[in-house]
Amino acid sequence: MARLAESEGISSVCIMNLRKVAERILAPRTLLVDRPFGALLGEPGDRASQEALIKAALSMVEDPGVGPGEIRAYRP
Amino acid sequence: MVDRERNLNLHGKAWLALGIGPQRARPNLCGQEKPISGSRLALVTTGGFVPPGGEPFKTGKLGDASFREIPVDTEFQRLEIYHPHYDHELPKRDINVLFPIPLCRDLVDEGAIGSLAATHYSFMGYIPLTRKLETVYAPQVVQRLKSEGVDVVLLTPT
Repeated sequence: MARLAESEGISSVCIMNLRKVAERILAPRTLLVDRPFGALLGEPGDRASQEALIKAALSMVEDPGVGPGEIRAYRP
Repeated sequence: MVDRERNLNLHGKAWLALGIGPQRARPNLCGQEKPISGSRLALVTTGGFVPPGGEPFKTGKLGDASFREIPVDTEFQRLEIYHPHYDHELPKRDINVLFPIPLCRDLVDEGAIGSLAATHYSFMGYIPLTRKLETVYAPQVVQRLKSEGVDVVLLTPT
């Protein structure tokens, strides 16, 4: 879906947690997080951490230095 | 280091071990001309969310490639979750851990994000038969995103 979106002029970023899957799928941009399935963005109620993670993901879209297929490990 | 598979059941772990698919080629980027603070954002997840009264995702062996529309003003505490492979407890307690529309609404109010699309989308992440996803459902969602003037899509597959 991310690739399709990019082909239609919509930028995309995926948040994923398994490098082996991220490397195989190779989405246009991936933020790799050290988080479990079902809670990729943080613990319930931890708004500060959730917000920081979302902003880090969206910053990959703005960053002209991010190349196609880049997988960036998130470091809080 | 977090046990990233801790919320998966046995079937989910087995599916993950088998179902990644072939190595994909390097993708293209469309280029982003606007800052996020001036962009319209949509969220797409595979967490299996269904609006109240909506048709459940099929969670049997054949999976389900379809999607559900999630309006931006949905009562999120009333969303139902149909996904056979992960523990739903955390997103039920706080949807922002997986499908952060409420948090993104706040970020719009704060000026960090330009605006949110009126409609967001949930798939269910167990899709062993991908043809209909690739040829029907994903293109439908992308066209809907385009018609709403979405500039950026944030995906949270699970």
